[in-house]
Amino acid sequence: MNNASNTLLSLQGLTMVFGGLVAVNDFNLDLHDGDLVGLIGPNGAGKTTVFNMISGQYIPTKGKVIFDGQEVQRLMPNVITGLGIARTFQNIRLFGNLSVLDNIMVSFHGKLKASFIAAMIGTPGYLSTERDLREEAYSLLEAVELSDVAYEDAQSLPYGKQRRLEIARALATHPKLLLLDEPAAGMNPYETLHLMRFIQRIRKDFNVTILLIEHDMKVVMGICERVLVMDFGIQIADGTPDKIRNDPKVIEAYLGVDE
Amino acid sequence: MGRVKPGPSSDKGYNMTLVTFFQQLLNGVSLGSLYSLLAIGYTLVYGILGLINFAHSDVFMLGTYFTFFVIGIFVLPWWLSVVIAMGLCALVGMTIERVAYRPLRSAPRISALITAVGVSFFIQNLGLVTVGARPKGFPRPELMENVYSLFGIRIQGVVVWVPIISGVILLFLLYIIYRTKTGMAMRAVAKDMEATRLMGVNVDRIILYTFALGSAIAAAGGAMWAARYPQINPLMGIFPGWKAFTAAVVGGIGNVVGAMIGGMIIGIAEIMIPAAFPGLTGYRDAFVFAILIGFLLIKPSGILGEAQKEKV
Amino acid sequence: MERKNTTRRDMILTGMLLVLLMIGVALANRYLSSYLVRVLNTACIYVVAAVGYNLINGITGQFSLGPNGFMAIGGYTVAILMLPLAEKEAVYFIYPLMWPFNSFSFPPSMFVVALFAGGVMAALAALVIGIPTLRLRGDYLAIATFGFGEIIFIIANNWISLTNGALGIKGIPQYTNLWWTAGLAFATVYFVKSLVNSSYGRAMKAIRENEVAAAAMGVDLLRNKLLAFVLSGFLAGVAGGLFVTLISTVSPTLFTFAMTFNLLIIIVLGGLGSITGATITAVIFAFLQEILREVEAPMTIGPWHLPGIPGMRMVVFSALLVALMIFYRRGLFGRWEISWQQVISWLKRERIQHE
Repeated sequence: MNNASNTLLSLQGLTMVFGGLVAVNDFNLDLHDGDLVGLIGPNGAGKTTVFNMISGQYIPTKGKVIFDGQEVQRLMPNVITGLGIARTFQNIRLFGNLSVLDNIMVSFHGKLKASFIAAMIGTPGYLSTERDLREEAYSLLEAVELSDVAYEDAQSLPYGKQRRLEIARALATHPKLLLLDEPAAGMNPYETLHLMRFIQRIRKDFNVTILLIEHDMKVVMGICERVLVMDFGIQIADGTPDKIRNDPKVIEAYLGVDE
Repeated sequence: MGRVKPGPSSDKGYNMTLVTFFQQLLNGVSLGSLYSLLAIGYTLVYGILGLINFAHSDVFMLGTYFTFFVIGIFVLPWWLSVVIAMGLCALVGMTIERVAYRPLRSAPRISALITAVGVSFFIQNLGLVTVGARPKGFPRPELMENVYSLFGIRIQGVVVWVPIISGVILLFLLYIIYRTKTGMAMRAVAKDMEATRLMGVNVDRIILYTFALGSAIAAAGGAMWAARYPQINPLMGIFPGWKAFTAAVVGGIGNVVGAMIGGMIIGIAEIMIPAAFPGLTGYRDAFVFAILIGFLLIKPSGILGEAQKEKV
Repeated sequence: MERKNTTRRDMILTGMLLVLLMIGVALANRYLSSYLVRVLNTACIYVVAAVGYNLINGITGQFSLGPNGFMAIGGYTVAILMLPLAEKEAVYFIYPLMWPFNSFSFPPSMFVVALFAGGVMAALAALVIGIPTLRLRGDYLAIATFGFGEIIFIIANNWISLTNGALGIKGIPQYTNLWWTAGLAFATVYFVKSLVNSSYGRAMKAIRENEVAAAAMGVDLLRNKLLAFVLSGFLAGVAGGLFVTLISTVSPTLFTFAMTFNLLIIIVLGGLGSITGATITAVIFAFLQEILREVEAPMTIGPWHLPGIPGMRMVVFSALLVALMIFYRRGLFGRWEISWQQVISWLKRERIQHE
């Protein structure tokens, strides 16, 4: 942990109310450059809702999301992505009928400078941009060991590779902060182990700060330096994995669910 | 959108007397209640399947033809013919759901929409081929022909009876939706289809039931529409249908009470605006479009609708 | 390096195709009957409109029912600009044509400008409808565009000093010929294909596949949907302009919902999202329509005399559309696109006969 470094993300009193239901209540969190923090809690605790508020899918009822010194909670999701927050989804949301390579290249569109007219005419300038993007996407696929399936439809990939492609696609937006929503869901122990190494590797190679929702305690306890626990929309614990493991409140929340 | 040459009568428009005002208002309520009846079918189906059932307007058209033929062939009283037409339309609605929509329930949204447009066009053109494009004169029931006098305001029977009959039907519908087990199941399916299925509810049956209910009500609306405008033709459903869907959007799509309110708004606006500005009479349908765009700009969730949110 | 060469090769091959097309047009003009040339013209106009329509419905996955309205706007714009001044006085005998259109008329050389103006007017209308509807999730575009066609119909009927009302405009010079229609069909296919294969096209397809994910990957949903919708409106406007200068008349009933329905059949039959499919089926459809016109006429087969059933065509087409959706949703071509690479490898395989 390097608490001395910059605060990258600061959530201040984040609250989300749906109808009469308080999904998240007064949630606070500071993330620093380079952190790898886990967010755990029973189903329906509001973890994904926190993600949705950070990445702009939901506008919080109350509270602030401050990213890199800027308030972002009212911005559109694509603008937030442009500022450097990328995410994956609990239920995989790939572009199924697009090739693996195209899935990655979609992430470059937000920063594209060329006009649609140049693209329509197919000017030499545009075509060379297109070639560069293709190469960049391909080398990213190589880095995440997916280049062998670059031209296959995303929906035809096996489950584990789809999860990895989702992460790669998020990385292609050049994020400073990466939000991973249950990346190990549905994986067997071998795939999970692979994923853990993968997350640690991309953190180093791509220099990203990671906030991770996960049910698999092995993953959370194995790679996170700090863990937050939510229950019924409220944060009930915050600390190192060791401290969390022995926290009576956490044990109570997980009664019978504990792995 | 467009400018009109001031017509010869446009200067008279601003001198609406109180009597004509009330006459027109009642007229608008009468038309609005018909839009309400039609809007409910759209909103019920949209609430459950997220589908604009384009064919609904054609079921409405079929309702008028069924009534027309039952009266003509079996020489039955008007009200009984309407009940029979409602039953027939319920069957048609269920058939459409079973044959055309159910196979596409898990398909991309756009496929279901295209199918709906296809079914609508199929019914219209089948109508053109079988009964012809020439409008038929619909026999007006005596009840609707009467002229009543209320505080010195002369009111046509249609204007009185259509809202009353519609009101009874709407109350009956609200009873079904909020007070019966089936109605509860319908609301549950609209909220979360999968969860409802897991609770042991036969979702397919509830959906069929929804189509039957919506179609029967549309048939009743169609029969009364024909009493108002007694010229019927196979394409007559298109515009009332589109306006009724707009009404459902205005009221908050998926919300039954909202559909009723929306229908009233559209109906009253359609009568009152041209009454106030006779020069714009030709643009009557354009007002509805303007209302739709206005709502989409300012309050897309409609009057009673909840802001939509997708589970991420 | 290798990629660069294939780009050049593709450009040369595309150029050659253009030359072939021009030769084809010259031959068609010379040897085909005027009836067949007319059908070919219609086919090419369908290509322009259908490829544009496919961009919003098939590529971007947003359901529009607007092409007939946009074609009407383009058609009227071109008609009003191109109608000679003398004709203008004769045609608008109830109310004179409003200023400034009554004071000028485009010379034949400015036909292309008029077509462009028709496209731009339709594109502006698309922008006005698109902004409120496309920022919302759901099917609001469908319901707004469905009403839009009707609104255009109403305006065409009522704004007599501009459109001449229900009588329509007759005597529009027949500027459209196979050079125009085939040339614009070629240009449409080329430009739309380039766009779809570019980053913009990927963003549009991503929106079709999953809006939430597309936004989360930095795609501006409204901008890209609008781009597709406005371009498709533009192309429909151009197609409408070509159409009225082919048949030399325009009236409110020319571009009804049936036109949109035809285009819908074309893009669904071709495979939603396939430009190749939309192009080929547009041509097939134009001919199919002619053949089915015969079927509708009364005929005598042996001892049986069958009365003609006018309108049967549309019954068949709508049944076909529903059946396609239920049983064969991918259409003839699915999402398949033809590319020069495929043509070459196919030709090679034919020759070498191995693999």
